Amino acid sequence: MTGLGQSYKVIVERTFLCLIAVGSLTRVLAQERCIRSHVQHNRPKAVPISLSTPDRLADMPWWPTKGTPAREEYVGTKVCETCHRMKVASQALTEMAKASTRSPDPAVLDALPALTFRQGFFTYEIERQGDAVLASVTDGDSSVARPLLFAFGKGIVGHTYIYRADGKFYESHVSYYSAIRGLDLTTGHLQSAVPSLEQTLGRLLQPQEVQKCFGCHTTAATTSNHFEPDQSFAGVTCEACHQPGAKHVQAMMAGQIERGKRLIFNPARLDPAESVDFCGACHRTLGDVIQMDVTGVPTVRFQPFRLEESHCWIRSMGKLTCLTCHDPHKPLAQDASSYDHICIQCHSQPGDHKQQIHPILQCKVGRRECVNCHMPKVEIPGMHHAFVDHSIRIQKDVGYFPN
Amino acid sequence: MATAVLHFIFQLSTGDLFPAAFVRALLCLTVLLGTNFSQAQPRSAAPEGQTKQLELKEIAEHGNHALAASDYATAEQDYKRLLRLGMRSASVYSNLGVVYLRTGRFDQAINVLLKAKNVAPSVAGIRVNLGLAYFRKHDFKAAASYFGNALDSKPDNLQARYLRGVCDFMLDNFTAAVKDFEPLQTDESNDLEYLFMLGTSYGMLKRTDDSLRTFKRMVEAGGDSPHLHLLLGKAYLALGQYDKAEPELNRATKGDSLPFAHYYLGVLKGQTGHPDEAAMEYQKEIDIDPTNIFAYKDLAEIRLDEADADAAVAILEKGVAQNPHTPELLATLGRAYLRTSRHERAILVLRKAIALSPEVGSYHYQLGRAYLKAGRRAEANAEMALARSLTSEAPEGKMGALSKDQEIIETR
Repeated sequence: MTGLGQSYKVIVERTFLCLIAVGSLTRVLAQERCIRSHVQHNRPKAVPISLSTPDRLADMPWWPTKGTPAREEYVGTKVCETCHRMKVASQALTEMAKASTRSPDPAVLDALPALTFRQGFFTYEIERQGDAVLASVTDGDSSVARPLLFAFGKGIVGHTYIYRADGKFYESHVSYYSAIRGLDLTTGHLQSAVPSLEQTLGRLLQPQEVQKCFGCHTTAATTSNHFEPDQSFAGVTCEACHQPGAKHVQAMMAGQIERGKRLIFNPARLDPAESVDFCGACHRTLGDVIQMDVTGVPTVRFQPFRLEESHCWIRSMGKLTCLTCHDPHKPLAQDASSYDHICIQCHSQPGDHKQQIHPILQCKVGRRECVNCHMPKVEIPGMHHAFVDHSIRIQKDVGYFPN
Repeated sequence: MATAVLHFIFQLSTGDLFPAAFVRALLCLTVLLGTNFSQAQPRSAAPEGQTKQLELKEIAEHGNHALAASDYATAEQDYKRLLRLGMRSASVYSNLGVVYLRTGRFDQAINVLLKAKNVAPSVAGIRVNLGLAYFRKHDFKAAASYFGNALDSKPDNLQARYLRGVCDFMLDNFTAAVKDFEPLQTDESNDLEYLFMLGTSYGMLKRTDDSLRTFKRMVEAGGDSPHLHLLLGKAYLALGQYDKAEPELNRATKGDSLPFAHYYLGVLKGQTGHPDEAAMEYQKEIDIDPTNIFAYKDLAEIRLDEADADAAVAILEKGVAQNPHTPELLATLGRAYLRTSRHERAILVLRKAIALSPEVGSYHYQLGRAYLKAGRRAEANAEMALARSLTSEAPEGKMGALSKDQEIIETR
């Protein structure tokens, strides 16, 4: 009996100790979980990885400039408009929608002074002849004139003209620049006299090159992997980003709403790196620039790359994407102060930085028109236009262009 | 033919249209190097005894003999053995460097040639070889510097002068190129490549009369040879005059023996939108010259564009087997492996490419992508950061067009 009583006592004691131990362990584990959770909460996530556009095109079922869908899969903005009237109307006013115009509008020329440019023995002219716009060049004895097929560019910087001769595409040797309201050499073309008038008028575009030009300035120029620019839509339209809409429209019309939603691409659902690379399909990504091995001032035109070089991108772990500041369905805001509230969201009160992933500096100089100082404009020689540098930074040396 | 040549001469004389960067790239592929390396003089570095000295002498002579007979594996073995035996002379390092140079291992060549230079700083030949190693790596700036060093101590070294001229030409420094090429006019007056570079440099400097005279001599020296037609074809190709380039390149391919003739015809076909014909020409080039890495690469790129990654892999694996120390081929093979979801293989070959050329950002990018696909995120991040930093540190002026535009605007 004594033995049994002792055993019972031991069991009770041990059970009690066990309960204490389990309790302690649970408390310790809970504390640890709490600490780990806190650490995890404060630990920066991985830096988003930017890929090149060819890699994205190979990996993703849909990506801008993808030329695999058939022409029949595209419906055009008129069909999109039936349901998304406001979005389509607003998007039509954007710079992207005006990335190209089919056969330059002759009326535009009427408002301009005579568009002529002289280089060496040659005189160039962009002129109206009835309903057509012609590019011509003469050396005094003979001349060549070609009707223009497309004007590339939204007009803020200017227009470069595309024409066709003998089934081949040419880029005009002269472009219209808004800042000088006149013609000058097309960017990238070297100033020189060449022996044939045809070559003097423009530069022959290689097949892959012309496909890329049309891929970003028009919609559906390449379908079923065949380049057919005549059937393209001028400018960047809905289906350039959201993928061809025929199947989506078909499902929606049949009342299959959920299925219909799945049949259209929504770039808003992309992760930060994908989102910036998505815009970079035409504006160039960090991955593209690494592959191209380009540095220096010309990269100012590659806004996604410049953004991905910024501290705001790297240190916020991709919190700041193109879409943070730009709505692709609305015209670009030109007023510097309209972006202030976005900067202030992070760079606000001095005490706020304790709550953030990394310490965020508050500007000591001002709280208005942040972009004017931190995103300086950089002029590319020969382009008669200063581009906003999307490498957001504290300018320590004015005029210095970080690579 | 004469009209075409005169037309071509006229175009070159117009000067600044000539896309120098492209010509440089074209030329860069075809410059054949006259690597007149000096033979090692067996010189022992304090041997312990007479017998050992004799043994060292014997090995050195055996190695030199093998090098002269292009038996590089034996020569490498001998020179390495001499180093193991403690014979650390400039000639052993230098000749081992020559072995590495001739077998395409340029980084290893630079490594041992720098050791040779430390042992014998006054020997001009070592600096020429160092220049050659950098030249073959397409680092023309470093190469020009070593050729210049060699010329400082030996101004009559024609090989160093010619090669520095080529480097200057590649670097767009046409004034310096002309300065180096002009004294060689007697010795190189029938060398078509030389005349091509000199004539082009004159054209770039707007010395029209000198340019016309030099090209006239090039046509005279070239006669109706495939080599001349290749040069003319390349020039038309660079100018984008495909209709004139094609007959010239077709003439260059006659006899199917001139390296690069089919390659450039392939380039032309590719640029004019005929990838199938381009692929055929690249294949013909490979059949003629299995060491032409560009033909393998461009042929594989066509297959990758056609989404036939397996065919690309087969071509590149063959290319790598023939040219195992070529980072461009290894990196392209890595990219092709990624397309076929062979991530681990991609990682392996991309690492090899990086070991050969650690300074190329795009190789780190591809390796980063391979890690990403293999689910190795931390390693992917590290490689991407490296790629990013290498791109950021790339020298200014890579976009040559920018500085040219600047000059043109200023002088306009």
